[in-house]
Formats: sequence, structure tokens, C-alpha cells
Amino acid sequence: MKEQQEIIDSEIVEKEKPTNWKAWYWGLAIFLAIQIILFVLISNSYGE
Amino acid sequence: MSWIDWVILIGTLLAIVLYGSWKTRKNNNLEGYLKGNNSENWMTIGLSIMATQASAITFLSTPGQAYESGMGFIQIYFGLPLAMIIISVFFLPIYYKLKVYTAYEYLEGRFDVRVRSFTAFLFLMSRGLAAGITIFAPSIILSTLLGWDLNLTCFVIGGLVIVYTVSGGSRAVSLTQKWQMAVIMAGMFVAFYYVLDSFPEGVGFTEGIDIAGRLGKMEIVDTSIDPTNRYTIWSGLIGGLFLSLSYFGTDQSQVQRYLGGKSLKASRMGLMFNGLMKIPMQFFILLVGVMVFVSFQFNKPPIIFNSSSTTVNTQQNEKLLEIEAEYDQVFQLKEEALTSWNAGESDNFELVQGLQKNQDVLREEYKAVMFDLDDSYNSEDHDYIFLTFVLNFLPKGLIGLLLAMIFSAAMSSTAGELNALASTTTIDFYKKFFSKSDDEKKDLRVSKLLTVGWGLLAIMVALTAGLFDNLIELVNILGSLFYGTILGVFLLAFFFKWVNAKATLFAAISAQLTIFFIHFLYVYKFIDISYLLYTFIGGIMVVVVGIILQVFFKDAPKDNLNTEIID
Repeated sequence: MKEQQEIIDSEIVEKEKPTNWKAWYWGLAIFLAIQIILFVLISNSYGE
Repeated sequence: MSWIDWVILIGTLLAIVLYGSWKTRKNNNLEGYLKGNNSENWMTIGLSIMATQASAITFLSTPGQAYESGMGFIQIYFGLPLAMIIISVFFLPIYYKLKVYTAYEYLEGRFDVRVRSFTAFLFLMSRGLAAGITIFAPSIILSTLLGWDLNLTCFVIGGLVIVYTVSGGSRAVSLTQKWQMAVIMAGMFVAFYYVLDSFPEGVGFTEGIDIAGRLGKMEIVDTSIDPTNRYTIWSGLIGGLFLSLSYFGTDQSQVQRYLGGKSLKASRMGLMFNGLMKIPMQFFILLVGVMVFVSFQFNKPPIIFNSSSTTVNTQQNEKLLEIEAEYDQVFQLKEEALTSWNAGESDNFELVQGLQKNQDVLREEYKAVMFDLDDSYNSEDHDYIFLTFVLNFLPKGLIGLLLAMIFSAAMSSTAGELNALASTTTIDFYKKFFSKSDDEKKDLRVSKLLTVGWGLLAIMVALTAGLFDNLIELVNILGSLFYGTILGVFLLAFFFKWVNAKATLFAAISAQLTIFFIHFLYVYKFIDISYLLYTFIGGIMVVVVGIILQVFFKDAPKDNLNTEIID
């Protein structure tokens, strides 16, 4: 019962204040790009 | 191993198994058993997804991979975050809307029962065998280095997994995976600390990175477009994207993890968590391997790491003793040169690099002689490097924790696989073709029996796995043989709504046969191709052939996203 209530509550919250998924996706893509840039910089500092 | 190691190892494993069984003891319906009554929060889902993917071999093999070849392996994960976004946007809402138990159920609504059964069958084929290897791979390493009985190790891992997976189903798998991930990460941090602790005075983390970089271990990104290079940024972004899409989007062992979420939001957040954490986590595991490499610049490593896996008496062979003596000499010279360079007394690092190359050559020579003496000797010893370090440099008690970590990783991925195999067999075959009644208790019993059945089969595969050479690679190849076709079917389903069942089925069969043929050509050396490309080729082929065939098969596709497809 407690778990079902939690599910219903979370659905209500999501309807009232929906998550900005576009921001999440862009955030994840930018985080990936930053990591790759960092890895390239590390590689270049030790590359031949 | 000391008694305290045994206490920590057995205590940790039993605590996790009992926790999983106890927390899910009230599961008495099929939905609860297979989907955990949709009660998991995003953190549990995220950790569960990561734990299912990270098998014991990940934690044994990845540091060894970094020790040998550096950090470049990280590139295969570059496509993963992008796959998480695509799955969140396109795959997940459809699975949720249809309230499916398995990914393959959706295919019947979209196409027909033949496409569903064919795809589910391909999944059972590849995953069924892989579950056995998930048990076998760490067992062989543990039994070799610790002198344990191989069969008993397989039975212990398989048996413990069966106990809680059968009793608690999907929820038990997710809940235990959360704690298993905690043990795994704690183990890796402890190992990292002790690797740095094994460095001599005057050498810290920064100096370690510098030494590793100068010895070629910090070349993380390869931007070349040479197709013979297995790990490049391009193969990581494109190949990694396809591999991750097929694994996380269509493999039931992963789909089941996020279908147990309490809401669409929780499942999406779980996927985002995986997308954010995966690269940093793999980077850290690889970094541990690179630091072990640095540690072995100052602490002499054995010339090979798996000497206990062969019956050759290395102390009685003149050639081996000769190579080993030279190896010791080179190591000593290198250590002196490195210490002098690190103290600022010399700036000749080329000498260290040259001696490292000599050391690598001597290692290869030694392996070649070993292979001549014993043709069953496996010269790939990098899986043994990390555990060799753990057994030699970690204090009593923490060795038990590290072994608990390896067992936890083996159990978490095996549990996810058994759970998914049982669900797919129950929903896509048993309930579809054999059980027409709505007897929930009977269905639950069958599902539990199927979990036991798949568990026993996995143990059987693990027990006989030693009969084959290069089995781990074989299973990776088998996975790649089927993944492309499965992914292609789902891509047609999601993105080409006008392609129908008949065209898809023919496309899937022809793609599967083509992949088999390409592999045949590769095995008999007519062509040279990386098996990592099979997923890409198979997936693209299903889509292209499906579209072409649809032009000839003009009947209208099914469009029944709102159809209730659960019997």
C-alpha cells in the first residue's frame, strides 16, 4: 500500500511540475563532450 | 588466505543473499516476481543497470587491460551516454505505455507473433550461454590463483545466485545489486589506496601519472581512422552507440531492470544516472590498472601472472630460467634509472622507455617458450594481474573484501541474466503458447522453476566451459552475432512504422544468415574483420533489407500501440 501511494504521489508531482528532460539530455551530451575534450588534452600532453 | 578474510568474504556474501531473500519474501504474484511491482526508485534502477553490466571479469580484466595497453579502452564507452538519451526518448515511453513484461512482447503488437518469438529466441540463445561464462570466467581466475576447486567455485557462485533470484525475483535482483555495487566500489577505492601506498617514497599520484604517461599508458583518445585499430574515438562513438543501444534497449537483462521503476521518470533518471556515471567509473577502474603498472615499476612483477595455470615446471627449464634472469636484470636497471630520473638526478627517460620495451619483449619470449612446452597454456595473462597485486599487497581482511567484490560482481550480473532468461521464457513462450489459464500461482511456480532451470544450465555451461579454448572471446562473438539482428528489428519497429511483419521477419532472417556467413569467412581467414562490427552490420542490414522488402510486400503494417498485448 505504501509503495502504491508513493507511485501515485510521484505521478501527481510529475504532472504538476514536469521534469525538463531536454535539459537532462543536453546536460548529459555536454558532459560527454567535456570528458572527451579532457581525455584528448591528457592524450596530447603525453602523445608522441 | 587468513581466517579474517574468510569471515569477511562469507559474511558479506551471506548478508547480501539473506537481505535479498528477506526483503522480497512476500512476493506472491507474477508481476511482483517479474517486474518487482514497479516499486524501484531511480537510484536502485541506476545501480542495478550498472551492476548487471559490470561482471566480475570487468573488475579482473579491465585493470589488466590498462596495465598492458593503457587507458584507450575507455573509448568503447563513448557511445553509451548517447544511447541512454535515445532509449529514454524513444524506447522507454513505448515500453511503459504498453506495460510490457519483456521487450519482445512489444514486437507482437507492432509486428506479429513470429517476429516476437524469433527475436526472443535469439536473445535466449546468446544470453543463455553467456550466463554460464559469467560464472566460469571469474571462477577460473579465483581457482587458479587461490588454489580453490574450480567446480566448487562455480557451484558456490551459481548456487547463491539461484537462492535469492528464485525466492525474490526481479526485486531481489535489484535490491541486492544496490548493495553489491556498494561492495564493488568500496573494494575498488580500497585497492586504489593500497596501490598508491605501494609506491616508494617520493612517488605519489602525480608522479605516478607522469611515469605512466611517459611510458605510453595515458594515451586515452585515438583520433585516427585506421580500421585495424580496435579502440578509436570513432569506433567508440559509432560502434559503442550501436552496441549500447542493442544491449540497454533490447536485451531483457537490462530492459527488466528499468521496467521495474516506480514511474517513467524513475526509469529515465536511472538511465541518466548510468549515462553520467559509466565513463567516470570505467575511467577509475582503468586508472587503478595504470597505477598497478606504475607500482610494478618499483616492485618486481612476476614475468607471467598465470604461472599457476600450467603444469610446466619453470624452475627446471634452462631457457625459461635464462629469460627470467635477463628479465630480473632489466627490471633492476630500469628501477635504478627510474629512481634516478624521479629524484632529478637524470633526465634520461628514454633509457627507462627502452628498458620497458626490453622487459615486454622478454615477457613475450617467455610466454612463447611456455606455449611450446604446454600447448594448453593461455598466453593472455592480463586477467590475473589485478588479483596478483591484491593478493601480494593488500593487508589481511581487505583481501576478503576484494574477493567479496569479485563474487558480488559475478553474482549481480548472473542474477540479472537468470531473471531475464526466466522472464522471457515465461512471458514470450510459456504464457504465449502453453498456458492459457489465468492461474497466477501456477504461473509464478513455473517462473521460479524456469529460474532454477536456467541457473542449473548456467552452472552446467560453467562446468564444461574449460573444454573450450578462448571461451570468453567466443561468448563475446556469439553475443555480437545476434545483437545486430535484434537491434535491427527494434529499430524498424520504432522508427519505420510503415514496414510490416513479413518484411521485418525476412530481413531479420537474411541479416542473421549474412552475419553467420561473414563470421564463417572470418573463421576460415577469407576476410579480416573485427567482430565488434557485427552488431553495426547486422542492425543496418535488417533496416535496409526491411525497407526494400516492404516495397514488394504492400500489405499495411499493424499500428496498434494501444492494443493490449498481454494475454
